[in-house]
Amino acid sequence: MGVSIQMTTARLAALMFSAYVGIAMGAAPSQSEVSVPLDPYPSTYHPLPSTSFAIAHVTVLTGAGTRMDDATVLIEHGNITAVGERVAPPSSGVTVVDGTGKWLTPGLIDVHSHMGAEAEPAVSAHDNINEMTDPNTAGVWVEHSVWPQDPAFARALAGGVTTMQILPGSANLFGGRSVILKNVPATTVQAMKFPGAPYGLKMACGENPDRVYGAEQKRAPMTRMGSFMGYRAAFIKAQAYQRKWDKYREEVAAGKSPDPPERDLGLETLVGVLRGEILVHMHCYEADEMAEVIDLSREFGFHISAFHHAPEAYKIANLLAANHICAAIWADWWGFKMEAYDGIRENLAMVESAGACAIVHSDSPIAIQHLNLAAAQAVADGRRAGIDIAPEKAIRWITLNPARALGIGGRTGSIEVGKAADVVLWGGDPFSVYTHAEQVYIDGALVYDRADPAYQPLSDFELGQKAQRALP
Amino acid sequence: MSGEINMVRIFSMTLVLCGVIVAAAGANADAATLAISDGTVFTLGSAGKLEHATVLVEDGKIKAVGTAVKIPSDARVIEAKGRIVTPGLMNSYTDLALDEIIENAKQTVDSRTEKGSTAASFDVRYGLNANSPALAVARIEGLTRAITAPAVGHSIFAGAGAEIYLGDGADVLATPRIAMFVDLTSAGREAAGGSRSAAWATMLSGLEESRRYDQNRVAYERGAQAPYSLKREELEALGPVVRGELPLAILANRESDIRNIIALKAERHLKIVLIGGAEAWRAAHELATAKIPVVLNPIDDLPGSFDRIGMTSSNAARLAKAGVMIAFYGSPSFDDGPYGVGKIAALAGIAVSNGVPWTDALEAMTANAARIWGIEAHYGTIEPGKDADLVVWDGDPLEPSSAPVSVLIRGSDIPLVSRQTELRDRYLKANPNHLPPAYSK
Repeated sequence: MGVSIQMTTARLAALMFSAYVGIAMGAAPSQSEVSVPLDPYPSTYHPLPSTSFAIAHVTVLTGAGTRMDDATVLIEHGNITAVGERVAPPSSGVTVVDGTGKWLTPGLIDVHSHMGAEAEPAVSAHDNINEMTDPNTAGVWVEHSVWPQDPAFARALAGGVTTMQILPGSANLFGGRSVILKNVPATTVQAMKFPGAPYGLKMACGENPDRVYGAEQKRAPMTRMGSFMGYRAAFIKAQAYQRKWDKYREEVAAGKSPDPPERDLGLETLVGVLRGEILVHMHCYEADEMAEVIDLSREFGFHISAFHHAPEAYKIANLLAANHICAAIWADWWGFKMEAYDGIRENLAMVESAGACAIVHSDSPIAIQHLNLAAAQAVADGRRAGIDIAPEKAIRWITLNPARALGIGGRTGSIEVGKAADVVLWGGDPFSVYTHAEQVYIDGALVYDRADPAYQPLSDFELGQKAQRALP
Repeated sequence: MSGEINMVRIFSMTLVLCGVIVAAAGANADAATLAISDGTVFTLGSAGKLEHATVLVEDGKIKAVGTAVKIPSDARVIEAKGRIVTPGLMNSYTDLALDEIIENAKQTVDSRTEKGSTAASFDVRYGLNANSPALAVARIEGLTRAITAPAVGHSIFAGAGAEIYLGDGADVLATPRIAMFVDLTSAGREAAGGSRSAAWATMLSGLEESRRYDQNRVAYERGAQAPYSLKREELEALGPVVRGELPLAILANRESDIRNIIALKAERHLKIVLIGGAEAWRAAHELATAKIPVVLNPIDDLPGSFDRIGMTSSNAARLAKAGVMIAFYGSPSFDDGPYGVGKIAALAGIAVSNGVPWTDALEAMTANAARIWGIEAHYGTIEPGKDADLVVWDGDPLEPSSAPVSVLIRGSDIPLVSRQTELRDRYLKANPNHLPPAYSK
């Protein structure tokens, strides 16, 4: 099985390489061709030390839509190598953990976090998520804002979160590139970066850009129509930029020596979107706006991976399903602004029952610690409205669905043979408020243990803070 | 006198008649006599937990509770079928009925004043809106009471808060001027000019001026005193606080502030309620000794500011263990505004998962809140004479998957509908006519 890990990693690396070539050049570079760095801030993540082990007699929600009772899961060399109700625990050489009474789920995944970029404690110096200097900052990469010592990462880990997308804020029409991180304590951001994960682009609709630019700075966009003008004008420029590079490549291929076009970081990101290599994550609340953004995506030929927040997703659930767009939703957060006024408790259940991809997201370093409870509440609200969703289906809202929306569904998000052993061992039913994540594993390595303080990460910031110490 | 008695009799008879008539019509939500039968009743009073118990409600009050209560033949009966029955819940620090939409719609926000001259004299009662849709959203979660409080604006003295009940009528005010709110968190620091010491100086000088005014009203009338920095209305508003009659609800988080508050209470003999209290656990025994209750948000566990470096998920449990009276506020979304505050039971569940005993957590949303705010005469337990705020739950109320099946507020059986359920039903319904959802056909 060790071989399969390496093959998987190699395949991911190859995919990533071709993606970057695609963005920059679209063809094998020739000697005279000016090249764009393929992966200038590469992941240096290595799984933490692990040993092979098995969990027996455990209730498994696989994340792929199924439930297994009294099951065995075998984890070797960081990967899941066997899972099933009738898998015999290995006889020797592998530690077997008794999972009686416990539940195992994939590690939870949050598609919408600002941890590290809007770090705790909140002070002016930690405002790093909104580059509010222009409505289009597609050229910023949020990884350059992430402070790995944010104490919030460890709290989320204790809540079972193993992977999260860190997004720029929603002040801008184009907020910048996201980064997908593994929730491992690290001194550098690169050591947290999910190897091979595609980039995302944060975009935003509605009130926030209008407020920040129109109301506060008296410049476009002041209105929603101004926002759409901004999106369209930017993609028109991106198309021209793409043509310029295509032409350059053609001329090089024809043996000419053209001057290379000047690089533009923002347009590189937008061209990545047009080529389908950078996934669009769009902050959008109202049904009417989401429908118009879908038209925008058709006008320029890109795909929207997920609408984020989407309190009105239930009004257009069929439209989302038909366009294969996920809705990343809060179970319990609405009414705080006009565009969130129509949020309802049954939103997730109604999106799910329309056959669309439903996701529970957090957007909060508090809510990220309780994604399981948000899902539990949404299931119950659905049931009371006549929509029955089994736990094994609902767990996808916080595992495989977000993994797919992030383009990492082939590697994490479910307990299936060949996948990374990103798993959470819960003390019981994960949809109960009284249940804790007892142990969390990333790539088969123990990264959190509720029973062992030595496996409860503490950020550098929290050292020497007398206010946190136990009283004498 | 006799005339008055007759009037009361006639009034009662009218109520009874109404009840019978409505019962006959099969929609007797306003029946004067109502019973919840076969409940697992957490009275939170001396009777403790009662199995297969009946709660009898008459004219909006709890008439009787017990396992041998006879249900009058004309009473409307809600069969609990063994389900859990609790007092209606209370969120002890909200902006319910005061704010509607807190972002980008400040036209709907009445909890704070950024300009003008009112501070301690600000009184939320005049801003209450009984028609706020947020009330129904919260009460169908089992919230029947709330402290609605002003937020710090231009002064650290935010003003007087009120106890509201979440009924469906034209009025929601239960007790005006329930406490005076003052903010010593970062918001208060800003209001005072950007320093903790300035915030303290503002609070102490306000209390001192009011004390001086209160004891020298005659001299004030004659103008025979050194001038006051505060207007008369402000001095008046702080009077009950300095006399120890009205609680001073202080928002504070840092241990140093909390210890200074303990000292303040000892020096000035004030009634004090601590709100927030992120680092309160570090002074738990001193708070218990000083009898200062703490209103906290159980979901908060982050060092979210330099005032809250010691914040921990075990704050509530440690305080409760030390004997500090605790109550809860907040919302699961951890967002400000009135739209999440109904889900207080889910926060209590998180407190339990972090070590607070289950019944203590229930009390923190009911009986404790009643004692802290001085309203235990009419609210907080299921005991005769109290307002009939009662909730029948479809499961363990502290689980996020649970919800009320019946909510009574002052004896009124509240329809479990809100703006949200109406939106849900509109978009759930089959639409054979292919008409837009805006039509009800």
